[in-house]
Amino acid sequence: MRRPLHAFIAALTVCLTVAGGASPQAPEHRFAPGSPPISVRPSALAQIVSELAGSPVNVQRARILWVIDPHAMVIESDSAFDPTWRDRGRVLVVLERSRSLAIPRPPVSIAPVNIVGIARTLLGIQAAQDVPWPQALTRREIDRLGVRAAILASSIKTSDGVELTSSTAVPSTAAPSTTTTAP
Amino acid sequence: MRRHHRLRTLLLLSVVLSGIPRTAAAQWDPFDPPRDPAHLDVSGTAGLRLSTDWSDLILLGSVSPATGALEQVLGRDLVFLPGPVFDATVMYWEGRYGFRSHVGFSRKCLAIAGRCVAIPTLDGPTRGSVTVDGYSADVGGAFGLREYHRNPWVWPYVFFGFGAVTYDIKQSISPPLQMFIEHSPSATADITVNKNFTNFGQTLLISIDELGLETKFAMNFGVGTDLRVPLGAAGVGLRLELSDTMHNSPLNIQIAELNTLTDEVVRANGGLVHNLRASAGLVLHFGR
Repeated sequence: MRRPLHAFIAALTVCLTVAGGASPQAPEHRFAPGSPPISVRPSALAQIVSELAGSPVNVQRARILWVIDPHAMVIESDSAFDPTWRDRGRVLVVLERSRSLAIPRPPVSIAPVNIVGIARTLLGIQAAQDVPWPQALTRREIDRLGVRAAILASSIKTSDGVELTSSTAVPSTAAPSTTTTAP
Repeated sequence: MRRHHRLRTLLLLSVVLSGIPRTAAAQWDPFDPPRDPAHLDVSGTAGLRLSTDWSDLILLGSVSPATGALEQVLGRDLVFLPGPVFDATVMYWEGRYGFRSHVGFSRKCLAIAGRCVAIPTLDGPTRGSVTVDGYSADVGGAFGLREYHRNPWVWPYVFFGFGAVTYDIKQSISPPLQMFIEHSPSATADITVNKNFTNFGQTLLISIDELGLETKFAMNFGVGTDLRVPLGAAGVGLRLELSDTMHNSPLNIQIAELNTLTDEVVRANGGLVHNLRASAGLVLHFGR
């Protein structure tokens, strides 16, 4: 009689442990290492960043709204309509420490570009401090621009495959490069 | 009917044209993006105004086989006949979103059936036509119909707001209760009428506001455009505006039965008064 009771308690304990412990860890195991990045548009990423944060993403058909500094910019979904300062669904793109932007200045066009990186939350980017937070991006600007998500980007390319970043040994916070061409 | 169709077509065309996407994204400099350029404009305009009736001709009457029809005049078809309207507007814009404050003034007369004449009242007719000063003041929002770029030549917008309209009626207008139709005026008429005008033996209480200084809550909306000559940090231009300001009729007539279980009050008011305005004038704008 005791043995089935012990077995039942043990099984119940295991079930509760699994059920209770599985949910916080779920995001970490949702995507296996090496899995292809999830293709998503900037506006969609801004809406579902809580679900995609931590996952590799390939953000497609984006347009560059604001180059904040050589390591950060704000993007939005490309559209037939002109960009405006106040809008919704923007994404902050922060480059990995070893890279910096190489966008011609001024660019003849701001779209389309594709970004590959890891989807992050704004708070995660700021708190982790693995990359410097762009100083010009204040809370007021975040509110006005409607920035809702971030990407720790490893690559920014045009649709024809031209890389818009270059590798740098020491990241600097100087003014953006003016006529740097893609490698 | 055809005019309506043409107007609708023109309106539709203007909306479509203002909404056409342009391939102007190349003008956007991501290294120095235009961030809600703030600008202020001050305008003074003059124009025409058209007001709808404050009330229709309101009669309280009965039909009896013995005496025939007896109808008492409770209210005349009054209307504010405005003269030229003068407006001053200050608008603050950030990008295509604006805050607007506006004051307006117009002076002419209170008219019956569209004519400035002496108005019959309880105390007899007024001394000639009744001069009325109409003031309006409102605040509200404005929205640019196109994306704002620095120093635009044309800046179309719509606006809406709320405020008050005040009519300063230079002579007190009491209700014309001494006026009867089909019968000679009664010598004992009063604001409270205790006569059985109907065949049902009901006693009526009639309440009519004497017109003097009347202030009404008002809502307004409209469309306008600036044709600007940008001169850098400041500029001048021509402003054209069409608007409608709506408020309840200043004339308040209430009729109720006395000694009734149902507490019903009939409000025989003129309803909503529209004040259509078309104006043009000078606009000064500051900021890019």
